[in-house]
Amino acid sequence: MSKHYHLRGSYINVNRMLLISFYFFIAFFFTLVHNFAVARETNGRDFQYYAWQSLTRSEIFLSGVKESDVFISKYQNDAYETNAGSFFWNSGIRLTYLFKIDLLWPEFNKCDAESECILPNVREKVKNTVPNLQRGAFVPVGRDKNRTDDWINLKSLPGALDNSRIWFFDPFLMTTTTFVGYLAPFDETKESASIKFKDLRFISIASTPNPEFAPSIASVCLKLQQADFDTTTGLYRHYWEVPDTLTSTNKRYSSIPDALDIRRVEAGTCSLGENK
Amino acid sequence: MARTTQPKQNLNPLLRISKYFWTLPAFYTLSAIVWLTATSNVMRSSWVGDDWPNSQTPYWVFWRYGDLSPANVFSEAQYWNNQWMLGQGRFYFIHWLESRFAFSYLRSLWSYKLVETGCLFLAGILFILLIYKLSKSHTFAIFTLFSLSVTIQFRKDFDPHIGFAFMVPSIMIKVFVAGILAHYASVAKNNLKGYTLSCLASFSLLLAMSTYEYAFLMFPVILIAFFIGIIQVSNPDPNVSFFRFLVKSLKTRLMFRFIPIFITWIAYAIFVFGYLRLNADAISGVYVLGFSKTSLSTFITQLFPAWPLTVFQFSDFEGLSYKEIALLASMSAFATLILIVFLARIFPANDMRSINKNSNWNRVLPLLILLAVDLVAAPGFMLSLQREWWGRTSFTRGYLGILIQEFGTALIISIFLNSLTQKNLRQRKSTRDPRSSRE
Repeated sequence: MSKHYHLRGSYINVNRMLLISFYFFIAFFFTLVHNFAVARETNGRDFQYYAWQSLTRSEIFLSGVKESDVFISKYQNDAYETNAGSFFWNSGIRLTYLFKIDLLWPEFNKCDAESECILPNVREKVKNTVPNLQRGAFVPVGRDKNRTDDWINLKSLPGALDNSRIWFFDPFLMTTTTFVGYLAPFDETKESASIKFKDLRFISIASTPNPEFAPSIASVCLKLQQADFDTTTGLYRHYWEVPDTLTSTNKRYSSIPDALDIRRVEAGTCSLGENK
Repeated sequence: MARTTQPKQNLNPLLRISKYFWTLPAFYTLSAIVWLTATSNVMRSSWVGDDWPNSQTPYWVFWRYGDLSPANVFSEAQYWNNQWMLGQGRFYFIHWLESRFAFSYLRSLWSYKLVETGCLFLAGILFILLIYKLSKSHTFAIFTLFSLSVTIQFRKDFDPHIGFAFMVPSIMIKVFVAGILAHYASVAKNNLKGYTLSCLASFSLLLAMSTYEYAFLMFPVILIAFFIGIIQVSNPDPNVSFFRFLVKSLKTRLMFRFIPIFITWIAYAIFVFGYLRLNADAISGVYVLGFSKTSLSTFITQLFPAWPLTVFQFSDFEGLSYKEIALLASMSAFATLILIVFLARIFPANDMRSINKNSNWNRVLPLLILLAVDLVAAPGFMLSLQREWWGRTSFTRGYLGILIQEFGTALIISIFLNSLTQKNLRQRKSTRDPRSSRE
């Protein structure tokens, strides 16, 4: 014989039902609010992400950069999108690598511009470090023999980097609404790592058409060269260059230096009218 | 579900619509919408945690090999698996495969988030399917889905819902599939079908364990699913004690069908803990297991983080506009309305049916509690053995296993709600048709 049931007094039912529903509403609503807030918080890097896409798609900023060139950076971070892979995907230029500077000179952070130490032989450093990027013992055995297409293996061959240009490059968020990047070729004639300062180009990327500030490098206010709009990301790009002459307010240099030690390459801001 | 005694031809159109609306599929659909609402917040998130560097996979592959072909992506997965397997003694090849392919072919954020949401949603649906198979109660299953909608809480540090390449939802899917298949294996009418299903279940378990080690500790879920099947098939004498029944069941030929699953579990343990760990050449201190007094407190704190509202703060409202708050409140009101209608119109009748249907409820319930306890306790147990986590956990803070605990906690809440509603019912002495008791 099967068991049969009927409901107890309906007021008990209603009370329980209302209590369950009330607690559910509170818990569900607050949980939705919390999850919404946490999810939104994760969008904090989105601007940097899209600005990087915009930077790496700019032919003006990257003019003169060729396949197999080497980028060296102070702020590059493999944990995010600022890497050689993403650069290749967006720009179509296959760099040998985008190095974080302390991979080449582990002592870089201790070796400031005021100290006696030098950062020598950038090309030799690069040539010696590239083979370290090979995948070595962990390469799957079955695929090992077919790895002739591995870019790093190719770039580790003797003479592979002889014609590569080495650039000093840094992309970073300068203010909460402006992402910037600078790029300059190394001057390999100098004893310590230096850039050809007059060849430096600078880009600022923002969501508004007018720049918030004029950038400076090593206290030299840069001159606005041109601007464009990136339709893919909806961001405005402003291109800046080193001026031919210094402004009267500059007290550090008497004239624009040809070369600049990479430790002195620091970005700053100037007022917008400073260098037109 | 709710039935009417009127003949079909006498129903007016309104009643016909209402009859259709109150059917079981409609309620499952509505509760699934509530669950989808809860999971949909994943779509609002960006790359999180390890997803940032891992989302760069296709670009690294393209740069290194000049081509983003499936063979190169597979090779990339193989590389990372080898690195972790030979270096750390950990084996989660399926995760590497899933994540490398996901990041390579779901390069836009929205498509990746869509799959991430889908996996979490599917895990919940499979969970309630498993729960229904074991409890034979639609009420219980729907309660579980409602409960799950309030236990799912995102975390600001390590979050398995919106980050880590849907690794934890993926193991949940595989474990629940294994549980459902194991259950079918035990209730199958012939041995061939039973063994085939058991082999499929063991394969699903193997995939789960090869996705993340937490699945190893979810073995009891599959064992319980299988065992409840035996209870349902053998329909034991209610006068025999549970323990005697357990011992007797272990000796039955049906238990042989569990052997493929058991062998898979043991083989994985021998391979990973008995071979890989012993031969790994660069085990990080993070992955060295141990035990101390702190292990106990770590374990105890980890029993609670998955309870509803443990991480909610009123400051969560700060970044939200009034419009957004109103939208979320409307969604909550809609979900609550569905629950109210469900409670008011459906479950009393449904409960009676499910209780009649499942005469072994008193034997099944303790096993369901055990299943929930395993889901809640296993991740905390794992953390309590890791020196890295000693003293770092709290009553609200956990690690990636928190998602597993949320499922277990939802089941506990559902058991509580079910018992609360059972008390609404009183056994009749008459032998009248139970459906008429609604009237």
